[in-house]
Amino acid sequence: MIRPRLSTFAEQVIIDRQSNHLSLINVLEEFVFDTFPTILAKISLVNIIERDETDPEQLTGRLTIEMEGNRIVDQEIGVDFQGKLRVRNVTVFGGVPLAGPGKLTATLMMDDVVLGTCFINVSSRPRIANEPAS
Amino acid sequence: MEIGRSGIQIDLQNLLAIYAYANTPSYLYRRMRADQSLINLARSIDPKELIQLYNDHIKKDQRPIEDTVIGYSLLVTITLLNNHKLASSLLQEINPKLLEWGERIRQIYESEATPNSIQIIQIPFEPPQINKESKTETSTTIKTIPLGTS
Repeated sequence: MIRPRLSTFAEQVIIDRQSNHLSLINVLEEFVFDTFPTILAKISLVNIIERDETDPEQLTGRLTIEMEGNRIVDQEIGVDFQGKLRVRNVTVFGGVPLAGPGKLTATLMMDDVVLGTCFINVSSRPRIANEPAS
Repeated sequence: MEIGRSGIQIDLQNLLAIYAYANTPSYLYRRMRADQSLINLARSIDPKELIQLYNDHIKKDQRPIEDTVIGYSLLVTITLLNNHKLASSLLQEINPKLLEWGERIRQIYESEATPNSIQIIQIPFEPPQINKESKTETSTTIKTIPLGTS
């Protein structure tokens, strides 16, 4: 059975060439902005997926990013286990537009099976009384 | 140093130094994987040529230390190929046991190899549509913050 092991957003993802270890720098769980709309210049999504010996080695998944029902990304993603039982999929997004506060949700699916899903809460910073609008 | 017929370059001095200091297969494997000349070699070499070179240098009755180091270097170069399936099949095709730590290096690689796939998705910027016929009044507020005084 194909199953998700980890799915998370991070500011930066590093895969060490010597050890093949994966490092997540600045794991993202919440964004607070003063103004909207805004753009996330760079954001990385990590999905670690596992399979059993009987599962196929190569899959085609669909990666979506949604913000309050508005689909920002809808991309086909090839997943190749290359004979192993675990694979890491790193997707770096540039220029993610955020129209307003809400829940930014990323989902990696294969057919009807969710291979990984995670979200970030996006909120606006409360204004201090008498603070001029920026 | 140039090895093979097609002018393949490796930094033999550095690789010899790594081999001289290596006291475990793990040390040799990790240090050689960090060698830039092997990283470059893994990007450019044809796998068939890699096997041919390995056999040329290793299948000798009495080989000099340079050939042993080149053998280990080529073994590590296989582990640097950006395709685990190909690397695994090449490691089965060659005989790592011809090198004292060859089989151990193959085992380390197999135990640590998790395939990675990386995509970069640049979302095109779409500026908001502005209706030219409508008039909007804009106002700008400039906030002046006095510099701190002591």
